[in-house]
Amino acid sequence: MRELEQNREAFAYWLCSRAGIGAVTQVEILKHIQSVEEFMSCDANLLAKWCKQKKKFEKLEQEKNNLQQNMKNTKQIKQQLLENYKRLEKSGIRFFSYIHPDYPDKCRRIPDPPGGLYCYGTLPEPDKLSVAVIGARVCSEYGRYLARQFGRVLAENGVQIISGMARGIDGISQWAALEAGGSSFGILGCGVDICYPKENYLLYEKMKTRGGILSEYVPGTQPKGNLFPPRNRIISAFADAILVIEAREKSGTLITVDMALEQGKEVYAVPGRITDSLSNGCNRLIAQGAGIAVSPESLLQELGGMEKQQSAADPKKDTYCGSDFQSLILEMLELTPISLSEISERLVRIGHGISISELMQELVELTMIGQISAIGTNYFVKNPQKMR
Amino acid sequence: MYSTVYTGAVRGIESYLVQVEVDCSQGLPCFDMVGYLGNEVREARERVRVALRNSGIRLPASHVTVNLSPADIRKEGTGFDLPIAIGVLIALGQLPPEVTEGILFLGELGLNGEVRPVKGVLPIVREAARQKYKCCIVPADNLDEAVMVPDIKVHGATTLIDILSFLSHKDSAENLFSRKHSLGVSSKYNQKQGKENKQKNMDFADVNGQETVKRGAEVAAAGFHHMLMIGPPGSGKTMIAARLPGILPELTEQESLEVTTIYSVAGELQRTGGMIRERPFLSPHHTVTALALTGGGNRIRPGLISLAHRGVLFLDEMAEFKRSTLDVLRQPLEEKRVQISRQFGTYEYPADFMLVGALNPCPCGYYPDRNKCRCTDTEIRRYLGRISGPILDRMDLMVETPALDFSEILAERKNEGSSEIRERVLQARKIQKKRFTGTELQSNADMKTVQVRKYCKLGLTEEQFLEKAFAAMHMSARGYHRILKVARTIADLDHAGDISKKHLAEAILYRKTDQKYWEEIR
Repeated sequence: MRELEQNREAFAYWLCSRAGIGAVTQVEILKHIQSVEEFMSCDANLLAKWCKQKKKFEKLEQEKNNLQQNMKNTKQIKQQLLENYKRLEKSGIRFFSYIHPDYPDKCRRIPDPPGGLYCYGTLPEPDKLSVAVIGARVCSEYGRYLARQFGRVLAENGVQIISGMARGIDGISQWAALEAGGSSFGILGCGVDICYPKENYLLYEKMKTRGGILSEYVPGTQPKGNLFPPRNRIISAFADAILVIEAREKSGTLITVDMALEQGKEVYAVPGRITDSLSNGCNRLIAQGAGIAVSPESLLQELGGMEKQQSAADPKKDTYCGSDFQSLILEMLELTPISLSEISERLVRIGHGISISELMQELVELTMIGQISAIGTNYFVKNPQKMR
Repeated sequence: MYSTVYTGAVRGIESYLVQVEVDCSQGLPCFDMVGYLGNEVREARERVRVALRNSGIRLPASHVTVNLSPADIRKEGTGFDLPIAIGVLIALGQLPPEVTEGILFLGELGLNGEVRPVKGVLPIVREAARQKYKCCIVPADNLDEAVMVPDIKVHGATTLIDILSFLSHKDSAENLFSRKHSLGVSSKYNQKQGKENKQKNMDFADVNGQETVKRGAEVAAAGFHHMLMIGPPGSGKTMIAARLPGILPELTEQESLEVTTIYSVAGELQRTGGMIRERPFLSPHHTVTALALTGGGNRIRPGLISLAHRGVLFLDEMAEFKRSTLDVLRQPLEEKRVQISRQFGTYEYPADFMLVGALNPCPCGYYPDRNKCRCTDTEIRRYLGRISGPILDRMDLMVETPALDFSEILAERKNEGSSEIRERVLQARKIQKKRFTGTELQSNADMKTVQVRKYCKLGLTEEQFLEKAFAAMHMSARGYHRILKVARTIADLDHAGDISKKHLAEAILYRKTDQKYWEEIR
């Protein structure tokens, strides 16, 4: 039994690692042929029928010939494919072909499922709520904060965070989820053995043990622009709902949203100020009817995944004990960074001008008690206490 | 017949006296020169011959040999023309040998017998004074700098004939005095006046807004700290930097002499004229080469960092400089002097300057305004990464210059002027001077770890405050001592004996940058 399964996977692995055949064809063939013997003896007409395009069929024929030329008989070919497969398993990468019993149903249900999935770590648990948190790679301080917040709170409530491990929103939300002790899954646009972008190396390593790194591309595939849009369908496939934190008007993130809508998934977007170009995409989605994610808690409630009961108020965090002057500064700050000079100017304008050095002390103290954060050289943002 | 005349030459910014020996003997008529000579010194032969002839002096056909002693130091520059000409005249018997006694000659000759300006007059005359020479004869154009040296008479000459007639009437002291003035053509004083006004026109009162940067500039000036300004284009970084010399204390007599000497050696003094009383402000373009910064090259001369000695070296668009160019600043920033070694010797120039850098926060310049800036974190890091860590480490203050809106730029406002800021700076300097009496240190920025421990002691609460602030702001301990130094300066500005929380808080914010910009962002 075990041997049979292995041979089947070995064949699927071979098929899925052929370049230029495509997921649709791979899946179609796998539906009919499950071993290399069947494949070698398969009628060319049948093959041609399964391959919807002539080009794909020619490519397949060529690969088939290659196999025959290099090896004497089918047994040897079988042996060879099995060896290749075992080598893959040995490297720690798990492979789930379309016909594998563990192949996720969520993927099987989408219009164009991947022929196979390569995986470090584990696959997302099917019974657990999964949310894809996605957004711009170049994000604002607002987006950064919200990605962290949503990632953390969702993870704390047992939601699996699915994303693309990209720079910006993706990586930040996933990192926050892992830090909160949750699990997160990164769907890559390159081979699972390649960490892209490189600066997310820590996240990549951590996700291997506390979730999974998944890809439909053969290990060793280098990241290329055209590989990323197709992988977005897998992100939305795994997710029960899509949450867009921040996106510009023309953003790659919106590709994922389109895929999600095609797959019939719920889409939520975080609203932003209409003057912020990074919120344009989100506001547009909302205008088009996407759900409005005003807080992680409300999102959880809508998704029906509220596990941890929220204590009404965390007094330590909510009530702020500082001088009147500090609360004056706090009122002035927002999530968009404001420079020290600007704060000073505004204080002067409302008749509370103080010297720069005194102001600096107040700001350092506020930073120390976690009310505000310093960004850049002398820019400050408020740390929102809780979102209601 | 044999003669000896004295002149001087420069090596680094030090000078030494050179003995010009001339011998005229019978033999095949020729003009030989020896003594480890550079090309331009060797060419003196032609200039001297023709200049003498055009001054109406006939040279009899004889074998002339000139030796510049000490013969084992390489001679460079054109100042040897005049002493050689005088030496030749004595050797030929056209001048009595005793007239040149106690006199040092220096000057380049034109073919028409004109005496032209040379470099390094100030240090040479000073050396002559130290060696108890009575008098120096220098080109008239160099008289301004020569008269700065006390205890020695200096005369400026415009032509060779003037000098000859002066030498032959030297007996009368009265004559000498009047000669000094008739020879001393000085038209440069007027220009100097204009120069001084230039700095007066640059006042901090012109700078609207930017209170943080102004305050930063004040602290930097008070402690002679290096400063880095980060901000979008057009936010006034250059404007503020140009006004920095105006709030620094005036050069002391000693400092002024140091700076003037460097400019004299570099041959820059003819342009500025007279003693340099203002702190230099240099702003090289970012295409500047490492050699131009440190000095050196084929003919060794002080570089920009030495010309900025005791003043401000302003590097605008710092990230556009070649990394290797910036890195040559490391040694000078640490040792406050620069050493240049060449095949024929090692030269040393002082380079105690205040480094002021200006920088865009990212390639487009608008970070963290995400509506304008679309640079990725990687791009930002790469951009700022062009400045190496060690250079960055030495910047005690980093301040942000936020973008200004039009109304702010155009507003007619009454801002604090440079003179008021300078007054506070001077007070703070006075405190430092008192603190560092008996040591080599001049300002808080000069303090090494030992002195930081001694003069920047913190109380228990302050120490805890600093520790907590470090943790809250995710700062590395690397800048610890620098923060203390800056805090010391801020306390000095406050006339406070002990460093308090307030001073620490401000100093911390000036160093805050490194965590955000230069380390992992998450």
